Amino acid sequence: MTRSPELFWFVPASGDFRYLGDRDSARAGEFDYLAEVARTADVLGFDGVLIPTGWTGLESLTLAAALAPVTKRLKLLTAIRPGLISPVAAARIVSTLDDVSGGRVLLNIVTGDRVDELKGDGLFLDHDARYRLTDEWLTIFRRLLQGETVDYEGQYLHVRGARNLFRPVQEPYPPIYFGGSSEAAIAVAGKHVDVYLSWGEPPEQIREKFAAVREAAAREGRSVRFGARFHVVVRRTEEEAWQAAEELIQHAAEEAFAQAAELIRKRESVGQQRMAALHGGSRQRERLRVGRHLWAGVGLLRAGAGTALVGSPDQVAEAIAEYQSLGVETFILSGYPHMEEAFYVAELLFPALGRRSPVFNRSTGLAGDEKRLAIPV
Amino acid sequence: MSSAAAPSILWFIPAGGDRRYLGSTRGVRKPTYRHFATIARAADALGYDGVLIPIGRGCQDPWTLASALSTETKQLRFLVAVRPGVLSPTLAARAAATLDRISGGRVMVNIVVGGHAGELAGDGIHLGHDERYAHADEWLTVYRRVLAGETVDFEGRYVQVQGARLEFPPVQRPYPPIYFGGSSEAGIRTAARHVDLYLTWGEPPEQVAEKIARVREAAAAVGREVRFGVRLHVVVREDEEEAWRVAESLIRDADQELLEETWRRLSESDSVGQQRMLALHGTSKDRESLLIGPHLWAGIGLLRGGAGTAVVGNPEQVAATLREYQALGVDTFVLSGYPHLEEAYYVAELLFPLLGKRSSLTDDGPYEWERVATVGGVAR
Repeated sequence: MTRSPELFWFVPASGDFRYLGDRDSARAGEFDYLAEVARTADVLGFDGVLIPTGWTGLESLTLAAALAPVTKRLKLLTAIRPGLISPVAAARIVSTLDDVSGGRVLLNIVTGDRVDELKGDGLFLDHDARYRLTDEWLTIFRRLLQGETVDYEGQYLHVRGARNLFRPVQEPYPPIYFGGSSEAAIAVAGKHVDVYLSWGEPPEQIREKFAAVREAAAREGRSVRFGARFHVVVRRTEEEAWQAAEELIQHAAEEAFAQAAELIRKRESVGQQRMAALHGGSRQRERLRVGRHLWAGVGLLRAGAGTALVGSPDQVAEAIAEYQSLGVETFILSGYPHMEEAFYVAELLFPALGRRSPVFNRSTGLAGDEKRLAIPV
Repeated sequence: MSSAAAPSILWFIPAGGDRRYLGSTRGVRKPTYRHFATIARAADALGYDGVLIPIGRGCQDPWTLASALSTETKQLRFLVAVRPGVLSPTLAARAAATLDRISGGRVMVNIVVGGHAGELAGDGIHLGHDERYAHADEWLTVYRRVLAGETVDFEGRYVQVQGARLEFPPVQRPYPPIYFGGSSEAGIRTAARHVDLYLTWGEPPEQVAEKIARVREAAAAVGREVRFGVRLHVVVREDEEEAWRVAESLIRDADQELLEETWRRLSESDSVGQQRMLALHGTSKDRESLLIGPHLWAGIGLLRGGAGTAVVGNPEQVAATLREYQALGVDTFVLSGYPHLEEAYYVAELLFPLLGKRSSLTDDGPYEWERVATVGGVAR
């Protein structure tokens, strides 16, 4: 078996559900609940959590800062939006966040793809121009975090004598993650980022995308690591897993499908189009099974990451091993509801990946016979 | 006991570093989150109403600190500085709403336009003084409307948004209170139109009175009312002489060269407030020249930008000085002292009772005080 990959969980900042598109089972993305999810992931032994960005949830940097003191080991993969904040202010925030968390912050650079939100935020650039801005932004940001005094006059950004006086804990700076499937995005990835993230497309599509990223990085004399973002439904048997997966979308209100489709249409992202093409809007069971253990059903009711790995622990582990063989080292997983599914993953999937959760460690904690079973009283 | 209502007393998180002496390498405390958290927890337990977290190139990011510190404190409020020039008003609105929700309605936002041209250019702000306030005015217009729940289209000279709105509103309605400092004409115009509380550094009462009158007039002209706050350092001890000894020891290590260099550096600022602070002293440590009121001392400003004055004296004297400002309409004091942990205790212990403020140090709590004193052998 290959080495266990890095496993991240997800903080559902826009709210959580038991059943997608079902108001009765919706959980508000309030801080106290999100903190419980993060603490759960920390205690269960996940390596980190992704903290997303968007209008409908708590703001990611502020949320990450509050999650840092209530967690111990968990890495916080935190979204930053280049178009909305100066790279100098962002560098200061990141240094502070790295101090607050004791070197546990990772950065996810999100250029943004919802035209309505971008205009609301005062960003009127077209798709490719947004990536040119991201390129300039990352150029300044990375140099600042390495302690340079920066003079830069670009098409979009202009700083003179910029400095970041507080160095981050991590050297040279917290790792930079990034996702983006367009050519413009891949060029930025090749030039600046440490880890390239993809939503969970079928292996052959991922292979093709990673090849383009590797090539773009090679042109810059760099190399990039890879991560993939999946939902996961793991149960003791394959049958139970598929039942749980399909039930996720069985309680959705009819208008929820239409709302999700509308939301997906508003996104200008190539990655989003690739996700939507997997199911093509169909709710047919067979059509949604886009691989032996890959299911596109989540994408009917959710923008962004829309596929799930579904199966028994060994089957999901096998699917993960296939992506590992393509170069994926980090898996960002999630499942609805995020609290309960984190336990399923730690209990069932961790051992199949050759990894132990501190909670499910086969120790009773009792003195004496190691084989003693704890009988609940 | 004061005849006026107890003022709101805020303490200070030294996000740029804490120290025992100014202008000295001795007794410097590293500006780390662990230290800030210790101070914030002390301020929370001691009964301070809040803490100011400053902003600037030399400071850790106040927004990030406030969010983390809110999880380590219970009642303490956070007056968090925001610089309009470096982020979009909608992102700021989302961050404000987020922090307000995380902290359970304990955030106040301090709008700091910034006055050091070199630092501003480093941050990518290349506007002149009055243009910065024109920008802040547009920024605040969008920020306030979005937080209040409107969908905003705005086409300004500096700020443009289409269909801006907030999906996740703050706890405090219409929005967390907006604080602001700025002594120039342009600053005061912006304050009058937008802010809830106008902050000034601790100038002598007659100068503060004049400033308050100008702000009131400007606010009245746009049909608004504004509250007032003063930012001061404090050195309070049981004996006046002891207080002065401590105050003067703060600057004992600084030599003349450093005093002059600091003066030069601070005079580069185009902040009118900073120039008013500098006008209160020269570059001499001489006690007489630094005494700008019976108990008001300008010595801090020799070695520190921004708030440069301290109220120095015994508890009665310090309380009487604060009451002078209260009589002018000030209801909020943002206090600090070096080092910030120890001085927070002096202020709570000696000054709070005279201001009619409760503190965990003086409250009886669940114990019967005399019994604790006897059994614990605390009192003689």
